[in-house]
Amino acid sequence: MVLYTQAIIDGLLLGGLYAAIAVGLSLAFGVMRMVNWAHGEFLMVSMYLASICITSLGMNPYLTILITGPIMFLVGYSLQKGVLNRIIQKDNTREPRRVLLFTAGLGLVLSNGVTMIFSSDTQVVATKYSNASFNIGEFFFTTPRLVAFLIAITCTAALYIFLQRSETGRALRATSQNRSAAKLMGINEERIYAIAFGIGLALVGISASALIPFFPYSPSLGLTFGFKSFVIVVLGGKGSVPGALLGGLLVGVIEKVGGIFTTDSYAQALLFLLFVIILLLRPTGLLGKETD
Amino acid sequence: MKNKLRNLGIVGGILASLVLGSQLITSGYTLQSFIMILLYAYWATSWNIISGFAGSISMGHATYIGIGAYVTTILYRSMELSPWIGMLIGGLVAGMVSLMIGYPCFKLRGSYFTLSTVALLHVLRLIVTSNDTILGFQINGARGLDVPWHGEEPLMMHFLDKHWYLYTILVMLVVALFITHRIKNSRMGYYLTAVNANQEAAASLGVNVTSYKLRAMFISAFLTALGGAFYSQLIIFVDPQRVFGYDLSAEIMFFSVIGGMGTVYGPALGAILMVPINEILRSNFGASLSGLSMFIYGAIFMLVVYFIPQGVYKEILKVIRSLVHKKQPKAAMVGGATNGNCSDSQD
Repeated sequence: MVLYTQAIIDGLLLGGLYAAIAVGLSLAFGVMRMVNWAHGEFLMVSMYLASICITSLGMNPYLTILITGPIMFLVGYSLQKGVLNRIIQKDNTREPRRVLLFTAGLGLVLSNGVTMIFSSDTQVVATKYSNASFNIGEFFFTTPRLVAFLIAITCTAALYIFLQRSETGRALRATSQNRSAAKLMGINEERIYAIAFGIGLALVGISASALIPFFPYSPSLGLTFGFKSFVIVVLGGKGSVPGALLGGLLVGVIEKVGGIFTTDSYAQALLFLLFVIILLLRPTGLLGKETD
Repeated sequence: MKNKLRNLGIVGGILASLVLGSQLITSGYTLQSFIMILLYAYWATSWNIISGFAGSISMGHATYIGIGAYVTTILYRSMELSPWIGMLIGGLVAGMVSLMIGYPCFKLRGSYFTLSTVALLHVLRLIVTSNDTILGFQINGARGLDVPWHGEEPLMMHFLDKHWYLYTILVMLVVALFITHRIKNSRMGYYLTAVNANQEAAASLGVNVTSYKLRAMFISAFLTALGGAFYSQLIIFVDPQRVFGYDLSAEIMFFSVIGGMGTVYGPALGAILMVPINEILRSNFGASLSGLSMFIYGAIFMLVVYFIPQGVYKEILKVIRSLVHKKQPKAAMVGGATNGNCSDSQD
C-alpha cells in the first residue's frame, strides 16, 4: 500500500508541473484555436537558458525564474504579434493549419539548433538542492520536486485568478468563447492573442527553472513534453485552466502508478490509449465546454 | 487537356533521361544518393494523398514506413517470403492500422488527427524498441533487424548492381504519381478538395467525409509502407529509431509542403530540391554537425509556409508562364489570364 501511495504522491508532484507546462498550450488552443507544435521545444530551450544562468552566472536555480519567465513571455508575445497573427489573418479558417505547420518547423529548428550548439547528450545541472530530501512518516519527498510542484501550482492558480478577475483576463475568456462577438465588443483580438501566447510561454519558462534542479535535459526533451502536454489539453479540455490542472495531475499519477505494473514505455502507451478514449467519448475534454 | 498532355510529356522526358543518365553513374555513393532522392519523392507523393488532398496533416507517416519495413523483413526472415510479396502484405497491414487511427479521428477537427498520428508513432516506436519479440517474431528491440543477404537474388529484391534499385523506385514513383493524378481528376479528388476547403460545407452537400478520408488514408499508408519495405531491402537493415522516427515523418512533410501540398508533382519536386542539400552537407561535414540538415530543412520549411504556402511548384509554374507570355505580348491580355486560371485548378 505504501508503494502505491508513494507512487500517487510522486505522480501528483510531477503532474502539477505538467499542468503548468500544458496550460499555455491549452490557452493557445482555446483562444487562438491554434496548435503550437513547438510547445515542448520552448520548454527545452528554457531549460538550456536556465542551465546557462546557473553554470555561467552562478545564479540560484530558483532565481532564474526572473530570467526565463520574462524572456519567454517576450518571445511568445513577439512571435505571436510579429509572425503567427499574420499567418492566422491570411489563413482564416477555424483551426489555422498553417500555424501548425509553421510551429512544427520551428520545433525542429529549435531542437536541432540546440543539438548543434550543445550536442544531443543528456545533461544535468548539479545544484545544492538536487539531492535534498526528507521523510514524512513512511513517505519520501525530494525537496526540489516539492518546490517545483508548489511553484507550478502557485503559477497556475495565479493565472486562473488573472483570467477570472482582471479586465485582460475577461477579454481573453471572451475571445475564447466567441471570437466575433468579442471583436464586436471592441476587444483587440491581436493584442489578446499575443498576451495569451506570452503568458503560456512565461509559464513554460518558469516551469523550466523549476525542473532544472532535478530533471535531466536533452534536445529531444521537447518531443516527450510536447506530447504529454497535448494529452493533458485533450484530457482537461482546451482553454480550461482547471482542466489542465486536472489533466496534468491525472497524467502524472497514471505515469507513476502505471510504472509500477509495467515498463515505462507501456505507461506511455497507456497515455495514448487514454487520449484516444477521451477523444472518442468526450472530445471536449473532462472540463471543457463546447465553443463556436 | 493540353496542359495534362504537356505535363505528362515533361515528366516522361525527365524519367527517360533519368534512366539513361543513371547509366553514366558508376559511383555507388552517387547512385545511393539518387535512389534516396527518388525514395523521398515517392514518400512525399504518398503523404500528399491524405495530407495534401484531404487536408488531414499527418506528422507520423513514418509509422507506415516502419510497418512496411518490419512486416516485409520479418516475413522474409521467418518464412523466406519474397519481399516483393511481403511488401504488399506490409502495405495492407499499414493500411489497416491507418484505418484504425483514422476512423476515430476523422470525426473530429483536424488538429486531433495530427496529434494522434504523432502519438501512434511514439507508442509504436516505444513498443518495438523495448521488446525482443512481437507475436512470436523476433525483432531484436532497439538493436534493429538485419536482412539476411545471400548475394544477388532478384526474386528476393536483392541486387548487386544498385541500378536495379534505382529502376525499382523509379517505377514506384511513377505509379504513385499516376495514382495521385487519377485521384486528383476523379470524383474522389473533387470530394477531397471540397472537404479540404470546408469540411462542414462538403458534408452538408452530401459528401461522406469520413468515408472518402479513410480511402485516401488507406491508399496513402499502403503506398508509404511499400516505400518502407523497399528501404529495408535497400540498406538490408531495419533501424527502429529511423524507420519509426519523428525526423523521418517531418522530412516527408517538409518536402511535400515545400513542393506544394495538393498538387500532383509538387511533393516529388520538393524532395528532388531538398534531399540533395542533405547529401551535400553529409559529404562535406559528415557526422560532425548532427542536426544541421534538419535545422536547414526546418528553416526553409518555415519560410515557405510563411511566404509561399502554395509551394514552390506553383511558383515555378507562374514564372514559366510569365516568361512564355512575355514572348507573346498579344496573348498575354486575354488568353494568358484564362490559361492561368484553368491550369491553377488542374495542377
